[in-house]
Parts: sequence; structure tokens; C-alpha cells
Amino acid sequence: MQPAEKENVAYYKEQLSSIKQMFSMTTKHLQEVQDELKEKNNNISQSVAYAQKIQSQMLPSFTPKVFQETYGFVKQRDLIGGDFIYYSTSQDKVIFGLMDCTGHGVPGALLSMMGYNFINDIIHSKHILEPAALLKELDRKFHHYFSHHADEKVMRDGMDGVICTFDQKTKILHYSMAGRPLWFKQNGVWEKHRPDRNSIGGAFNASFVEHQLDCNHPTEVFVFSDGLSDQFGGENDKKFLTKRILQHLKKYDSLNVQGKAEKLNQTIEEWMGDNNQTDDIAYLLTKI
Amino acid sequence: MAQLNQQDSDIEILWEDEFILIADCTEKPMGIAQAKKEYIPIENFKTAFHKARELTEQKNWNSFLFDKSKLNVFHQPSMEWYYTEWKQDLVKLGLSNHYKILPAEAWFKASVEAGIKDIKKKYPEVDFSAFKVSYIDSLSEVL
Repeated sequence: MQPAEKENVAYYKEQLSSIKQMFSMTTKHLQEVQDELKEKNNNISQSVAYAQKIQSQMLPSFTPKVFQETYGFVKQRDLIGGDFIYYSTSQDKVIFGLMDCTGHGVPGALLSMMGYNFINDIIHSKHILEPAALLKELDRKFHHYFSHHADEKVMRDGMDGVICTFDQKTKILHYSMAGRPLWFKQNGVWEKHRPDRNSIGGAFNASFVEHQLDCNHPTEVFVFSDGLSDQFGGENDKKFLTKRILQHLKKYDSLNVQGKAEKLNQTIEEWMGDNNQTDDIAYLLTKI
Repeated sequence: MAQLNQQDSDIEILWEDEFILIADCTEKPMGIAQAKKEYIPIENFKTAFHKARELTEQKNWNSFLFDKSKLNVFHQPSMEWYYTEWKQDLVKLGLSNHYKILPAEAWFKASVEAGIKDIKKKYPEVDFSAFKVSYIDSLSEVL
């Protein structure tokens, strides 16, 4: 072997030995990184599981029983999330509704806790029971809160939803919608009431329209978050859409609220199949 | 980064061998080392960086760019020497700002991370905060 060749062999031998050292060092490093990530993931999972217990306390028990039947369903996409159902009483009125906060997961859950407490405060401290006024005050509170934390990203956060106030004396249901619809059934016919476009935390100084529904006749009310209609699935991996929700309600019209809801849960599970849940899902079905 | 040559208007090549070249940046007081091969044996590495030390004194460099984009293997003992002796020595000359250009391969970056972690563990007495290291993609980012 010529001296130059010998030199070349030595060069490549040293290079090979360095590659081996790099490989073993990097493998060890990546193993350590993986262990760290596993531990972090474990800690986060435990923390979220505990947060789920806390958030699940927000689902009302619907007592005292003012309505004939009520069924509330909340299934967050990531254990915790931004959909919630509100239910409370004040004087002769029952205030209930469903809110869908921006995003899901931890930020959604934080917004939902904030929204829930704001609504409680508006009803029980400020004694505002009219839905439109309540939504307006809720919107003001969101804007006020985020104006102190002037971050453009945060300013886009808010909620869509419907708030209803049922007057037990007059049997009139007052309701106001912020970006979500309210459906009701009277005389065997489902009516879909399209919402105002304004969201809570959206356009500054938004106003909301109040509607009334005479519930001296048997009435069913249905409100839901967009996670229900936006769920992907079925044979062609499409959205569930509101038309299927309505078809479902009509199909199981003879069942009571509990029966209809259980069927709806089953239908949406079947629709979802092996797909992931697209968004937080919540709905509230009430028979007045 | 493309192979540096004397025609580049913003650099002046001051020294080179088969494995590495050392250049002066004409735009700012910064030295540049560029790997010319996929691997640099430790003796050649030390020779080049001893030269870079001499030039730092002459040219009053306060920052140093090491372009490793041509490398596909590094020699960990060379890196130990580079971090624990050469860089510490250069801090005394007022050079504490280092820029690095790494090869694009993700595995190389992971190996560099592993190597630095190893060095920090092995030499707890060394003050790694005495110099700052920034990773860049091209010379123009620092000019």
C-alpha cells in the first residue's frame, strides 16, 4: 500500500469510528429526550384528567325539575374543552343555555370557566335575567377582560351560544342567540330560528335581539354547538350537518327526550366511526 | 453556504489547508472558518483553530462564524477541545459571539445537540455562558 493510500485508509477509519461515536451518543440522547417527553406527557395527562373532574362539575343536574324533561350532553374533544351548558334559577325564572367557546382543549376550558362565572355573576349579582341584556353584559365583560390584556390573538376569543329565560308564571320563553340557533317544536312541527351573527367577544358593543315563545302549549327546545353538525364521518367522510340532526329529531319524534337523546348519541357515535372527534360537542334538549 | 473563494467581495481568505479555510469578513470584525470536507481529523482541526486564534489577535475579531455545512461527521473529542479550551481561550481575547451553520440534515443537528449536552455534563466546571452561540443559515444573516 502506498503512503497516500495508507493515509486515506486511516482517514476513513477515523471517520467511521467518529460516526459510530456520534451514533451511540445521539441514540442515548434521543432516548433521554423520549423519556423526558414521556414524563412530561404523563404529567400533562394527569393534570388534564384532574381538570376534567373539575370541569365536569359545570354540567348542571337540572334540579329543581321545572321542565317536563331535560337532557344535556357535553363531550369535549380533548377531555376538557370549551362547550358548556348553563342552568340556574332566579325568582320565578329559569335561565338556561348553551355556550360554545372559541377553540377547544385547555384554552377552551379556561374560556368556558370564565364565561360560566360571568353568566353567574350577571344573573345572581347584577340580577339581569333578560337574555338579550344578559348576552350584551356578557359581551361587555369579555371585552373588558381582554382589553386589559391587549394581545391581538386573545382578542379574537369569545363564545357563541344561546341564552333562554323561562318565566314560570307566564310560561313564556325569552331567548337570545349569539351565533348559534335555537330550534323548537310546537304542534308537532320543528322550527329552526336562525341566530344573530354577533358573537360574545366579537364586534365591539354588539347588541342581541330578544325573542319570545309562548310555551303554554307543549314545546320542545333544542340548542347545540357546531361540533355536533360539523362532526366528520359516514361513508364519505362528510359533516353530519344540521339536516341530519333534524331528520333524527323527526325520526324519533315518538320517543321522550331521554330516548331521543340516547338515539342521537348513538347516531353520532356511529357517524363518527373511527374518525377523531372534530370539535367539542354539546346539546340541550328540553321539553317544556 | 457555498464554498468561499477569494472572489467573494465580503471576505478575504487568510489561511487554508485541505480540510478547512479561515477567512476575514471585510464587513465586520468577524472571522470565518469553513469546513471543506465531510470530516476533519483532530490534528487538522486543532491546527486550523490555533491559526484562527492567532488571526483573532491580529484582526481583533469579536465574533466568529463556523460553517459546518459540508461536514457529515464530527469528532467528539475535537468538539470537546473546541468548546472547553479554544472557545474559553478566545473569550479572553474578547471574542464571545459565535455563529454556526450546520448541515441541513436533522440527524446531524440532533447529534450536535447530543454532543453539546455530553460536553456540558463532562465539564461542569466550564462556564458555557461566557460565550453566545447562534445558529444561522447563511453568512448574509449576520452581515
